Amino acid sequence: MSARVGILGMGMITPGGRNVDETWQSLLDVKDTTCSRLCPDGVARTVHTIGNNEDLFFNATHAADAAYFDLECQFGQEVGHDTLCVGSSSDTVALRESSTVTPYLGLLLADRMAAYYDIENKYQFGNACASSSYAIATAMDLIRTGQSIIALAGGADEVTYSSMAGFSAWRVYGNRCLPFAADRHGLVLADGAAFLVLAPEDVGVPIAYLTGVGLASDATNMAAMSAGTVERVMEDAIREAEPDDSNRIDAIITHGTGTQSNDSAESEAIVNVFGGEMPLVCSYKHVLGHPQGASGAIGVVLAVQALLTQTLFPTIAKDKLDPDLEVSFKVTTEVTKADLAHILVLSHGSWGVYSALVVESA
Amino acid sequence: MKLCASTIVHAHEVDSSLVDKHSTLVRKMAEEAVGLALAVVGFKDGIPLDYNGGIVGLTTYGERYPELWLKADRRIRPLQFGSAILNSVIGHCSIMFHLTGPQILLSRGDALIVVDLQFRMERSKLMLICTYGDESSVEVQVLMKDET
Repeated sequence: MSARVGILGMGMITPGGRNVDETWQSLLDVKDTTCSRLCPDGVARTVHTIGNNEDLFFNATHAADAAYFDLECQFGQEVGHDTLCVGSSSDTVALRESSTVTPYLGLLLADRMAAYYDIENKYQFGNACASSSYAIATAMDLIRTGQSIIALAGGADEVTYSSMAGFSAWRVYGNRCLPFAADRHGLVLADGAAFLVLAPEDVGVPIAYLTGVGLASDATNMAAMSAGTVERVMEDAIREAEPDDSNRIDAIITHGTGTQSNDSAESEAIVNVFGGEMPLVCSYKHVLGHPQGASGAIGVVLAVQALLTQTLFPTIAKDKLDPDLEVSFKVTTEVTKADLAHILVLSHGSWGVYSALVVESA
Repeated sequence: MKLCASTIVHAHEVDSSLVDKHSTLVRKMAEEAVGLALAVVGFKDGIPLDYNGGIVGLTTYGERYPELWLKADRRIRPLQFGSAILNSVIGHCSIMFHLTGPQILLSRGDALIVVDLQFRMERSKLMLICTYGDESSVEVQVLMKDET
């Protein structure tokens, strides 16, 4: 079963900006390949303090309100959603860091957002750094199977003390994020939230479409990335999007966290899937940091913006590229104007969670 | 879809000597419950590859997160960080039973609908639902795509 799902609205908040335009501009303007709002404590922040669960709700509703506003502008009146799909790996963690009560029995982000937007059907996903991709994929599936008409889908995450301690323990936490660079430093955690309003393709005037999903588990490893599974989700998503010669993938927004394991696996997988006809490759995490469970949703919003402007943002300076990565010559090194019709968005998480989504221009 | 097996494993049924600082009780219970459930449907030695078996975890219980961090004087050891992630239990089961299909951790929502979506989108022919709320018990259902 495959059908296009329309994107009717989108919103985001990141360390690069309070909305889509500001974030997009900070990606285009970046002069140095480091997080533009990297704080002295080594994290990329939106505006708040570490360890305050209220910030998560604020960021989520800030992004979702913007997506909602797009929808209302289009229809000229208030339009209700019937489904909420939200991904977050850090929800309640900040609360629990200051409490010894376990398990957590209070309200989750999905509960609070569902009450705020008066949505009955709610789903919350905790698939590590791929949480929001799984939320978007589920919203797409619900729409494609006729179980939802208008869905709010996305994700929000925040930096917590324990995630910083954990990634530091894994020795993948750097002071700068340099995806696909020879002198990569590792990942930099970030706050972030992004939401989309999704509907069947014949409802309203979509700004873009979601056409393919790939979801898989590696089933071999807790932390290291597997090129084979990245390959599998990319192929599944492309197959589901029913690509033909005119329906090629023009660009890939990679998970691109700036770790050796991530760069090697994604590079190998892209080479294996596309061979000599590789699409352009980019990552936004040098500017926005790694927003963990919100990564996929932020990637999709940036893919839509890229399709709307027919532009890709730079990932890294040319002289810093890792020559050992076969994909290097396709990594964007400057603001790139291109003929973009289909963009693949990758996001992956710990315990072998992998995902790919295909975004198509309207 | 059809329900093919359902098992529940309680804490007192798990060999406590298997539980150590790297392998929590809830993880061992889940492993045992999944093993028993798969044996019931005849897949004791593994799920056929073409089934692309997947797993849905239904919980808000973070295995050791962030309690580990608090107990260890705000430090997390590398091997413990794996337990600090919400999908660690189903991730562990996916490795133990080679579940290469979708691995989905639901904190809110209807797991049966999510499983049905995987079948309808032809991503898997066999899905497990693993439910737990604390360290007292883990319940597992095996669901298969009804192709009749």
